[in-house]
Amino acid sequence: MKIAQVANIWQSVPPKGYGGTERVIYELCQGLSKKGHQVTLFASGDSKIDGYLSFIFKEKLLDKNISWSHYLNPLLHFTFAYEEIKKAGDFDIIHGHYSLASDLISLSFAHLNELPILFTAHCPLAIDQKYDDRKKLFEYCNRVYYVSISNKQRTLPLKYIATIYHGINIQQSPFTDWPTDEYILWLGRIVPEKGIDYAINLATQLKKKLMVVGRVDRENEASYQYFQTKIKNQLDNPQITYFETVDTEKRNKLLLQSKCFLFPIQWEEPFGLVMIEAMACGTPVVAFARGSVPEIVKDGETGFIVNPSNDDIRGDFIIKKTGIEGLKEAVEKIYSMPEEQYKQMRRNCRSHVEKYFTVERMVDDYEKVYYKILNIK
Amino acid sequence: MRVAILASNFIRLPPEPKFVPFGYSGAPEKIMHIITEKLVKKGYSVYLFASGDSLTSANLISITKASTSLDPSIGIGPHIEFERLLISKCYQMAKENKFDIIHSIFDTRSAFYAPLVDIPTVSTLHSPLNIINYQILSKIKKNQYFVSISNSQRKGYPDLNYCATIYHGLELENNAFQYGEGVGNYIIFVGRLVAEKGIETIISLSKKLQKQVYLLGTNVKNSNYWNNIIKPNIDDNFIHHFGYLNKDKLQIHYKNAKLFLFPIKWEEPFGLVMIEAMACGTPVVAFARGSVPEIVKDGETGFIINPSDQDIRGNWIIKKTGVEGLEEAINKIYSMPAVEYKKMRLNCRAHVEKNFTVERMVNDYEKVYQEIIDKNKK
Repeated sequence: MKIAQVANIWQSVPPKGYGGTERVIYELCQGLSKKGHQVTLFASGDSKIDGYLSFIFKEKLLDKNISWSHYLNPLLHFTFAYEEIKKAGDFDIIHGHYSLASDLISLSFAHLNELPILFTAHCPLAIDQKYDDRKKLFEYCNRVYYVSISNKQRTLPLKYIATIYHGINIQQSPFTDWPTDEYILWLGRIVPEKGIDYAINLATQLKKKLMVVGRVDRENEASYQYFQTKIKNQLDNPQITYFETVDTEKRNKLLLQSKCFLFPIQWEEPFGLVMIEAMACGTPVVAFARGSVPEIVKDGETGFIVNPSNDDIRGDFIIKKTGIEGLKEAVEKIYSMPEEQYKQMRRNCRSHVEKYFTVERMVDDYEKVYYKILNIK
Repeated sequence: MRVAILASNFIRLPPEPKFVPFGYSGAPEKIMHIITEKLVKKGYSVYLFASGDSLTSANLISITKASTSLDPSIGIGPHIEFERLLISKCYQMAKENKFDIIHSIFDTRSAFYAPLVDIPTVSTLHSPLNIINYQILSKIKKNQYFVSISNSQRKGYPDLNYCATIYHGLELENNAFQYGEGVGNYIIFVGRLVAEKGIETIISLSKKLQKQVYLLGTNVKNSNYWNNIIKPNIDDNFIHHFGYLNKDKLQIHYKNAKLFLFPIKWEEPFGLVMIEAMACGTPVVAFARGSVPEIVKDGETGFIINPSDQDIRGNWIIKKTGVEGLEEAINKIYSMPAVEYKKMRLNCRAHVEKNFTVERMVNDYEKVYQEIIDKNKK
């Protein structure tokens, strides 16, 4: 098949450091190429895959002090991509990746093409349902098929053709059943949705070491203010070690050597790649039962799932307490586990990822979906 | 020829005052409305993409019942999403071969779609360009053409797919913008009451020269400029404020005004109000910024003033610059002998009749449409 993969240009594919979506797109391109498909990736010019790369922007926009609100650059990139696809005339399918609210309109660019189109949304599709503009946009772009990255992500009546969980390159993930260090790990963008304040409170209250890898979102004024006014001071705490960014090697090491990974999310995370990255290293996940979490973590086997509050009960989980008290109970439970039980949990984590969240499985699933769409046509 | 006029669903067409939200001029909508109606009259098959409450003799295509600026559940900001939907709809129909050309009110918003269909788009640049838009638009070449509304608008932005400069035109028939004698003896300003129009200069000159001033136009609600700089000066003694009036009332004020004062601080891309004033016989006193030197004939239809000694745009009759230059021009007009003043008023009218009519504007657009369609076929 000749496949057009249309990514964004904020981050390169693969990303340097932060960028789960771009890591997934990279693995997908590589996997499809390996299977003999001809892949053309539309992304920033500093991307690198085994197939073809086509670009109008030489460099990724991130780290160039361009605000997220500068949506004109991505829109130009998308127009360029769909114009190139139209000119080429011989692609079999377009696979678009949508990762930012301001990109959504690019659906209507894609729709002007005659080819079969599949979109994977890497962010929630309906952040704000106050307006029916999105609904109308989806109605227009009625030829587009969608893949959801978790079942929970399906909040709109779209033409979903499959749920395909992300996968990671497991060969590149180290594993240990007995880390040499004992700390709680929090890793993500420092924005209120990711709940870093819960991690800090929890570590302080339980007097545990906390490792924070938190990218400061300088591209968004509100997020940056959040970091400056609410978080920055709290990180200055002897229990906490803070890194703004780390390289892949250090990142893997931190994931590998942690006692547990804390994911106290305040939003409906559509997938949460970092959870499977942690589990691949053997690190159990303690997370609020929001978004995709109940589909990814096996409660009691690969970590613990905690209901966000008494007013927000998502399931009947092992830990009965809710909110931060629930998180605390879960973390205490992991720290006080007998050695063999903890080791078993770590081995469970690894095999859970090996079974359900590998790149190979993800690539196979997408390939199947492409063929399915071509056959519908 | 089948023409799609891609307007906005933000302000309905025609943009009568009550449909224009605070801080907006309605000028782009006014122009697009006129073009639409004229094209229909000339026998073109015209599709107008606008809000559902627009009044038109073209085929109206809309996705919202009311204009989004009047829908409290949408409002300014989210309206852009609805604009984009309207644009999507237009290009979807273009793909289905429903028309031969799209004439868009948008500079950037619709340009992203143009290369993806087979028919050409011509966009009128109603707003001044800026470096961000320019960097984007200079990369969109296929099927996307631009009409500048003055030559000055292109300054600093050379590398766009320009196809023409087409000055705006006014409807002079049907009692619109009649000639008047300027008997009211006051200074008039019409437009948005915002900082780039230099309203505070009008106020201070009015006080200094003891001349009545009529300010006609909308303010930006709760803006610092309006609340602290303009509003406290409105006293109905010298400074009168009338808001955005409909055409009949507007033209009475134009006709009776001694002169139109336009001390702009920005590069006005066209300035429809200048030709409206001149159509009513009212001379224009303006800073030589933006389109002004292309629209006002220095000494014949008013006076052009260099903005400052450091910013000399031309060799004008009035040698003083800045506010002093404006002052000299105003005094000059007020002290003109009646015959000379009358001659200047008649010049104003004749200048508009010759160069700034709707008929000339629409003819220019027709020519451009045909040229682009022919070019695209090659």
